[in-house]
Amino acid sequence: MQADRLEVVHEWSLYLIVLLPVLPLVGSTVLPVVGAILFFAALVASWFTHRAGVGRQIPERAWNVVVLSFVGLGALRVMFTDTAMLDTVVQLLLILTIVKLFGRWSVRDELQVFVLSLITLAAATTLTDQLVFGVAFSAYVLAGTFALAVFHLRNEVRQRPKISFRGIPTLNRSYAMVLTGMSAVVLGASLIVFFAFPRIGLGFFAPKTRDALQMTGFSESVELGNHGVIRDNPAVVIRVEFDQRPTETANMHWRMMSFDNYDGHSWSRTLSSNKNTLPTVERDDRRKVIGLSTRQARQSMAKVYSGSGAESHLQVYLEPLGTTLVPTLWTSDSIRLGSDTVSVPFGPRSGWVKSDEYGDLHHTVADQVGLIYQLWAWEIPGSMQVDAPPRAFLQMPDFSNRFKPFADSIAPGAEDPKAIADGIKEHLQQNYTYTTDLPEVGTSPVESFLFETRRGHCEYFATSATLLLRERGIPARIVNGFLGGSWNSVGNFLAVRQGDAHTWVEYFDTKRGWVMLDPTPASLIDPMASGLDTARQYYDALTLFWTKWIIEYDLNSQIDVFRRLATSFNSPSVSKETKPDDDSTPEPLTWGPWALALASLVLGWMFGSTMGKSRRDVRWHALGVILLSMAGGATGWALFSMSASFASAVNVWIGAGFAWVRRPAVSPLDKAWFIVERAAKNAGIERAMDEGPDHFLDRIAQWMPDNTAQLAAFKSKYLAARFGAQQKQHDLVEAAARLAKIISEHAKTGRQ
Amino acid sequence: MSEQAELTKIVDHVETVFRGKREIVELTLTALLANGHVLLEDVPGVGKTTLALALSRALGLDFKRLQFTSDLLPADILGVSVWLADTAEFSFRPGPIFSNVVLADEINRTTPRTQSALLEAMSERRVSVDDKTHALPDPFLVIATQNPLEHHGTYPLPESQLDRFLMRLSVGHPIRQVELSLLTDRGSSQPVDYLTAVSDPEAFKRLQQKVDSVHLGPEVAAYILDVVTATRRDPRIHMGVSTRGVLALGQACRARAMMNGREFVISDDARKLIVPCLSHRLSLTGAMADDRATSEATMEDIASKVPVPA
Repeated sequence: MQADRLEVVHEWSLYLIVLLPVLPLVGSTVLPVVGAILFFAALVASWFTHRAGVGRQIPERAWNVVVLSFVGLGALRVMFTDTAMLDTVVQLLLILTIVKLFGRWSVRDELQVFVLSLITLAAATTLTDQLVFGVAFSAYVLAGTFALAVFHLRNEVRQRPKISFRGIPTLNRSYAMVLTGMSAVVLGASLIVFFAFPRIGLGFFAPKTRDALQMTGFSESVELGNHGVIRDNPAVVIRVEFDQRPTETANMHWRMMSFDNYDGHSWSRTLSSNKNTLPTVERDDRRKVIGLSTRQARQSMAKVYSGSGAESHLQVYLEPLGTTLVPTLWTSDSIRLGSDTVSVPFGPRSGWVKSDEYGDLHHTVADQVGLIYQLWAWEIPGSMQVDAPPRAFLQMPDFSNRFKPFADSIAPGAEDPKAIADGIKEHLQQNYTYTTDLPEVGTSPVESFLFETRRGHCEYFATSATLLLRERGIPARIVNGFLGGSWNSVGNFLAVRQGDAHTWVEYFDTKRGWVMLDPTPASLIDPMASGLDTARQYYDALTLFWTKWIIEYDLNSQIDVFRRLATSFNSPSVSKETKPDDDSTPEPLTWGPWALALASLVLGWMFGSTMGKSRRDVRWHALGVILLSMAGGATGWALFSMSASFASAVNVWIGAGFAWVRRPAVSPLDKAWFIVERAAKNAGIERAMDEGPDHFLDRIAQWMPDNTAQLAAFKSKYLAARFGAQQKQHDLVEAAARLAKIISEHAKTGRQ
Repeated sequence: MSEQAELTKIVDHVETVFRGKREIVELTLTALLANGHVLLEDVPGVGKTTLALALSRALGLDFKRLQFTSDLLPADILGVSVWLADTAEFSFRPGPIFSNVVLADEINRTTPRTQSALLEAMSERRVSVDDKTHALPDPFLVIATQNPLEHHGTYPLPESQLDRFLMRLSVGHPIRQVELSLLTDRGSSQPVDYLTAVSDPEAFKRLQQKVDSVHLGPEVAAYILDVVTATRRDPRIHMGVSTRGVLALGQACRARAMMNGREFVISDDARKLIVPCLSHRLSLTGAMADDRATSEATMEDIASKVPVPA
């Protein structure tokens, strides 16, 4: 009875182990849907044949024929079609697995199945980097430990039933519990290794790390008449984190590529493709640290855009698009590859940004790699003069004689480019309608649009406006990119999708430089399923998390994580006070999710252990509850770490709890001093071991002479509280936090 | 006027004649506030007398200078009882030590017998002659000097005697600018003899009494003891700092806190005063045992390895 149960558990875990590495591959080139159905069918069949014991009846020769014919076929496919070698090898692995599952009658066969599944998992690592793989991998680590232990136990029981055991080892409750616990420990340990083991980043090894998105939305060509389905494509192209949530995102134009020549049907580029590296921003501090040319330095886009007002800082995560074009926000001031925490000066991940004759930006990083970069965007666009544009931006196709009078009839007599442009925009928006359901157009789509159908999508509007502007003698160009995007409130970032692809116009105004003009009727553009369901937001936020912390996780991110951890451990509740305003103190990791995961584990255990009937029974439902709650806890951890409001609320409770527990250890006085000391240390002023507080604060004061009053106030308060007879400690922490802010700000401005 | 302002005024005033050495003036005043004595170890001609005289003038205290020689006797310092024929009794003629500020020049030139007479008077603050005890004036500060270069025919002070000085200081040569201005401004600068008092002995006594009320918290005390323990454990040191040294440092810290306008001692005070207050109390092993520079460097080294509470 007991052995039978063991057999069942073993069977299930074996199949789970086989299945897990395959799941992420379903739908890819390795395992198309048909192949996947066949594979699963074979799996199910092998289950029953093994049960029925018919596996033995299939002669081994038959399997050899199957395998060899596949090898031959695969070799031919690799040689004569463009099938990847690795795909074929993985397919072979799957076939071998199936063969082994059908024909297993010894322990060795089963061991081989384990090995095959491990190899499949390893191969899957190189084939996919999707979130699904991460989930499957974690599950594999959990299930693998469990399955191997069960496998071993079963073999012991089966092969040596009477040797050296006091009793036959059985799969009782405690054994199963220990196994589950061990699996969890192994998973935890492997996570620790993943996050803690020093690594040098993917950049060195994997020039191609991510699958490029299918380019259905944005394209490097504009040809009127082949538009339509793209507005529905929800694949996210760009994810943007803002320092502060922008009030208006619908009007953000993510500029990628522009064109000068229209031949009557499609746009093309006729200017030279020379690219110039953008100049480095002088005040950039990172350049000095690296000491290497302009790689990963902040580069100025003054030659491309102009603008004024306050700068906002954006952190952009660009999915691999199969192009070297860099989307920039209209209008940006400067750009820097990498992020504040991640910078890769060497390897395929590194590079710099160049601009071409059109003002389009290109990066020199391998185009199959997702790009991470920072943008500084102007508040008010276009107020400076830039070089006059080449004549190419005045090229006209051959039009009928209806076009010129029409162009002249809009804003008649106006000379100012802005007046003409606004007139054209107004005319188009009032008299034409936006549609993606295109009517039949004649030989000249623009003229059909202007004079007959009066309906079209953004490419028609933009093309017409560009040509009308040119007809009036104003240099203009058409620009491809993305418009708007939707705010992901789960992860607090802006997600720009394929479906947000858009086309608009830039015209040249001698007084303002290039000016953006979007003639498409704004109100009629359907903003991509505005009510995005929360599930999609969660999924997308998880994907960004996955990209940031698993795929792009490298040494720099590691350092960042450990700095955060250290901050968390050092001052559980300081974080609250310093978090919003102190950049130099990294944002601590939240306690909430950890506690949640732990609590769910404990709860699951307690709940599960009350459900069994007798002590000796394996409580499978209990185990299930535990595993489920662990998975729930882990998912909760991932989700809540992104939903800032909840996590910070939990963090405050936990932080308060910690503050209460640790009250004697960290007094507000110590905390105040640590805040200041850390801020100063981050700014480069470190206290020597034998340096008194008075001298140390004096030294800070010398370094920032403008804030002596603040420092003196803090000093007198702090010293009195620390060494005085009456220890008045309240409001010291606040004063310290304020001071820390000043110090870090001074460090920033001082460095510039 | 706060104590700090009062003391700053005194230091400023002294600095008009003893220029470019504000730190030494402050330390000497600190010692005086803490009711301690100062040992100046320096070559002749760097202004030790000027410092002592200026300080006493500024405080309105009277000043005596004693040049120590090998034939000086205790009575020459303390005073003698003389027979007065008209009243037919002995009368005590106080010696030069009966003065607020005494400059004991080249103290290592005189015999141990005379040295101990002085040092005893320094710590007891009274003089016993012929079974009669005469209290010394209050405040009472001895500034003793030693010439570190001349060893011939000298009697170096034993450790137990050195322990009685609160601080050992070294004036050192003034910097070039100060010497230059001393050369050129001789006419315009105020000679020390005409320095007016900016305070009076009563006021200064009040300040000295107030020093005792300055709070020395457990953290600074622990730090002082950490340093002292370190000196007792250091292999370079034959004998560490005594308990008298600990108390002296604590009192000096209180005085310094008051000079800086605080009602409590901070760890900076202790850190600043460790070398002047403790280095002469170390008895080093080895050849350079009685060298000032060596002992100060050793003390500094030990102190730099003890974490200061912040």
